[in-house]
Amino acid sequence: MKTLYKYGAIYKEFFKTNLSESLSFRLDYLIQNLMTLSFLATSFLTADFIFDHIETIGFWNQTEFFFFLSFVVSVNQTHHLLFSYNFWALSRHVRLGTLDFILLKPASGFFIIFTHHLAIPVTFTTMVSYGLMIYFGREVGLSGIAWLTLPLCLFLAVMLLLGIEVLISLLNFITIEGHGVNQIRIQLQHFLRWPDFIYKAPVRSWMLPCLAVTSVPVRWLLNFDYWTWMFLMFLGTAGLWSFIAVFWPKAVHLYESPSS
Amino acid sequence: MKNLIKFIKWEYEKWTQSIKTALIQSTNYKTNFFLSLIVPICVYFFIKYNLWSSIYHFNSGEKQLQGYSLDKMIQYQFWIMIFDFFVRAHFFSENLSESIRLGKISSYLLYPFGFIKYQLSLFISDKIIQMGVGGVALSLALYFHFTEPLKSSILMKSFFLMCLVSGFWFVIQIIVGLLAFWHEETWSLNVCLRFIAAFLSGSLLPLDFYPEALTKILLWTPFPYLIYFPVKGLMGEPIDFGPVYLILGGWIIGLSLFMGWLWKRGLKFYTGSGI
Repeated sequence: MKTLYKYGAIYKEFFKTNLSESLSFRLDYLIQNLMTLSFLATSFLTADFIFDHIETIGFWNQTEFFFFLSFVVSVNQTHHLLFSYNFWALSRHVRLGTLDFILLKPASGFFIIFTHHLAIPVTFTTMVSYGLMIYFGREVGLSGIAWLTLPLCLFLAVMLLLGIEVLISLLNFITIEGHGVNQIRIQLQHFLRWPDFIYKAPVRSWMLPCLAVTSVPVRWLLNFDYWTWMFLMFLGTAGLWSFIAVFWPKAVHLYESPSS
Repeated sequence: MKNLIKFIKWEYEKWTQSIKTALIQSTNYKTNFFLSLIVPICVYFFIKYNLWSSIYHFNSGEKQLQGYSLDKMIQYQFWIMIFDFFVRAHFFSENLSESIRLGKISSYLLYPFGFIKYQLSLFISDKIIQMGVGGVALSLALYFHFTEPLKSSILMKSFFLMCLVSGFWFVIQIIVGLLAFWHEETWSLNVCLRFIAAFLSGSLLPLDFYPEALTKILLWTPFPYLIYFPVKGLMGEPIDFGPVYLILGGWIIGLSLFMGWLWKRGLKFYTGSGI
């Protein structure tokens, strides 16, 4: 419990620092919101223009597809708000050798690395994406249980995405320049923006852990027959984080500390 | 006359050395180079290939959507990929804005090779690499009969158009980078511009799928001339290249003048902080 309080207090400080930093650059605040709003608008408009000419994409009609899309942007925005910047910061720390200062601090290096930077300006658009998810959830007529488990699904999706990205980011410790590693993460996010059934069978099986991030929760929320998929996703996420717990310290051992 | 020859020789030396250094820098980290330049474009094509295949598969009643059969749609997406290999603008506006923010341009202001000239040499080196990668991708596609060989006239016209589109992106990147004189971070503006350009240029789906009123408005903007028209041309469809050159050329000239003005204005605000 004491440990929980300690990390809660650290996170509160991170939040305060990020907030004051983002409020100092007000124009950037506005532009970042404009950027994410343009992402939301282009995502929905593209799908809307496609649906002007067809009835369904895969098994889903327009409303179901829009619910999927709103879930995708919610996962994306939550991830962007809480974690995204930290992956770029990790690459920079490894390259410049400033990771030493983090590893020496009297708190978990892993915690500091992946929670230090928050994208406070996108709080507004994250709320917009949640609003869209609730709106399209009502449109598709989600059941009571689906509404209750929706936040858990979102949490599980973000945790799975974060786990996969942390695993990819371990590559930073064996490369010199981390830009390419971050490119892998970004390309992975492109895959998740479309439902799993658009991909052909071999790709689906290879990419399943990644595609599961957005496709499995939405399938389950729309149809409870997919409970085994949801259960497997839960197990997979837990397994992935156990794997990270083992391999993260090993990866840090590879860090050569170029600044020293 | 002797002085002129000397001047040309000096300029040639400066340009070739700058381009050579930029080429070495870009290709130094090979994995990084591969992951940043080649993978994103291939992934983008792969996703769109799967998306459109599934759309046509699940709507089997529809043999054609807005005049596009599945084959034609895949060809459209394929040519976007090839065109992207050649013209995709990299985020060098970020380097530019960082140089301004950290006061690095002070040294460039003293060098005998202007800052904008230096940026142009970086851009040329980028294009040389992209030409190579795009050329290899196109050769592979032709070798595996993924597409028909292009007529030489279309190839020439499209090549000129590619140069214009690349020039357009260069000017835009410089303008966004120069905004760092007034605003610290410009990457979000750059990303925002990319989202909008991808959507309005027909990179996500052909403009034939857009509402007619929107398409009419778009024709007044540079966006359709960045992807939709060049790709249609490469697909062998009858495109009048003349007006496309004129419109794009006009935008480039206008934006270049704006860029020059911005550079002069920006220098007045430059404090050299970080020196």
